[in-house]
Amino acid sequence: MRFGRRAPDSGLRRPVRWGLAVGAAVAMFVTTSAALAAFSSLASNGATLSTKRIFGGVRSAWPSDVRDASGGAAETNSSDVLSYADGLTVTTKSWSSAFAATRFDDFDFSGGRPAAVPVTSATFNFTFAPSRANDDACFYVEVRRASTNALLGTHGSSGSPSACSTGATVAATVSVSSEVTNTDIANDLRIRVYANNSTNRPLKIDLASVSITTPWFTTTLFEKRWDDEANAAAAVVLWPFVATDGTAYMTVGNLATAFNAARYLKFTPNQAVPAGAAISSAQVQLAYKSATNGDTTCWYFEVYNGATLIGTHGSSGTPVSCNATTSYVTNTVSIPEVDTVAEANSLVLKAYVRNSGSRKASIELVQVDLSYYLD
Amino acid sequence: MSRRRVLSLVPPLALSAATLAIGSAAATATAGPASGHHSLRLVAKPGRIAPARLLAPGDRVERLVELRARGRGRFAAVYFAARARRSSRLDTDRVQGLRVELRSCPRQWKRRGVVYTCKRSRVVLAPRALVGRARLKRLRLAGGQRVHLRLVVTLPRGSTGSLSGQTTSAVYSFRGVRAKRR
Repeated sequence: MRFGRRAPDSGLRRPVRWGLAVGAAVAMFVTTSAALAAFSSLASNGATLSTKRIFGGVRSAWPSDVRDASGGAAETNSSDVLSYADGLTVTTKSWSSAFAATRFDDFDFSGGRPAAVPVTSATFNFTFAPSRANDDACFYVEVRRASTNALLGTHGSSGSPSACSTGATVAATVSVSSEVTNTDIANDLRIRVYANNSTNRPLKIDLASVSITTPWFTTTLFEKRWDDEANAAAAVVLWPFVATDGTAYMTVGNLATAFNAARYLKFTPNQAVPAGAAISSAQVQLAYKSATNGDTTCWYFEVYNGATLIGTHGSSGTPVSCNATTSYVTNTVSIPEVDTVAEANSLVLKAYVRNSGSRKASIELVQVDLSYYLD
Repeated sequence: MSRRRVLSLVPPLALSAATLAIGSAAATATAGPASGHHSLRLVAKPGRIAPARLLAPGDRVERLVELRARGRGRFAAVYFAARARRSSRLDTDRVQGLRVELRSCPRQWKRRGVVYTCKRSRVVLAPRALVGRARLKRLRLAGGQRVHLRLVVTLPRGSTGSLSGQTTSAVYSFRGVRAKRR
């Protein structure tokens, strides 16, 4: 009976004891925390810090649209055939009827866009047809870095091509937005096209360009290097004007010994300055020489905003420069009249050229450098 | 109540008493006269610093902050901390991102054009990445005293385009640690 009475008492005492202990611990914690809180004092404030949308810097552009009236007659369209869907085509080497890892065409695109700008959409534009109307041809693409050839992504496959033609010209578009996520990649972009042809013949390519959209501007990237490996052997074609690399454009016609208003070259740089940008400086770089040793070639130029003349640099009496050597000479000329976004994006350079031997001239580089920022 | 029951309550009561004593002792030793209107407090003015927008590499932003100690006693140390309420590469990139520096002046800073000057200014926080915590050097602050700080935030000249179009909302904190009474 004694044990029978003690059992319920013991069941009560234990919770009470633990309750007291826990309560005391909580009390200690609260008291100590309050003491430590009083140990220091806090004062705070805040501020928002933000950067310009595009930092100031020099961005270059090169012409893909070139009109040549060097002979004094009507303009010849010397524009890059691959950069415009104008019905003018290049013909590749012969493909095989089956896709092959060694048969591809590489297109590297010119950069010059402000660095690190996010790209919201990017599309590879590819207009092509088999070389014969009764053939079939298909393609798929890889997205790569031009500088390293690193593979970024693949769109389509040999089993499921991006697009096919049954003989007619096809204007295909392939979204490459998942790889071209910023202008750093866009400025260093290679698109590798794997193709086939049902009768092992070439393709005709009208257009190979990349359209990109960013929060601040929209632009098209034009190719500057085409490596046709349709037959599994490299064949590189460089577009002139974009570098002092020895690849030059030779005037279509022979020049005259005197300047003439009807003898000129017209260059339209592929500029994409965002709306609202502040342009702090602009300049033209042009590298040239005579096509024939012993000749002297001279030049001066006009700057147009579309069709409107806004500046002249040099003259028929005082050219920008003359080159009597066998090496390319690069002239750098400031064009301060280009100080608005509209002028920059509609810029046309019209170069008047003469040659002492009434022969052709070679132009290695035409580059417009714009320094701008976007708040 | 039986004797046994009384004895069974002793251990928990003893534990409670001990913990309460320890807690009270801690409060007394550190807080001291910090109660009521005499408590040593650190006040920073202004409470909100003017924003700095459209920064570009090489830009430098100067803002003034007055730190005031209210109450009795003195601070043994003052710590500066910055955190990002809204984070971006401006604060996560600790090499090219924003950097902060603090200088103190015994008097009000004088405005000269776009900068603030002080003949007897001293570096209390050497340039460092914005986010983090550091003790301010050579900063003495007792109750009733104030110190005039110039906070300089810079975007390094070598910062690349990846830091363009970024926004960080920073919260600056000053924490004073009270000196023990003798």
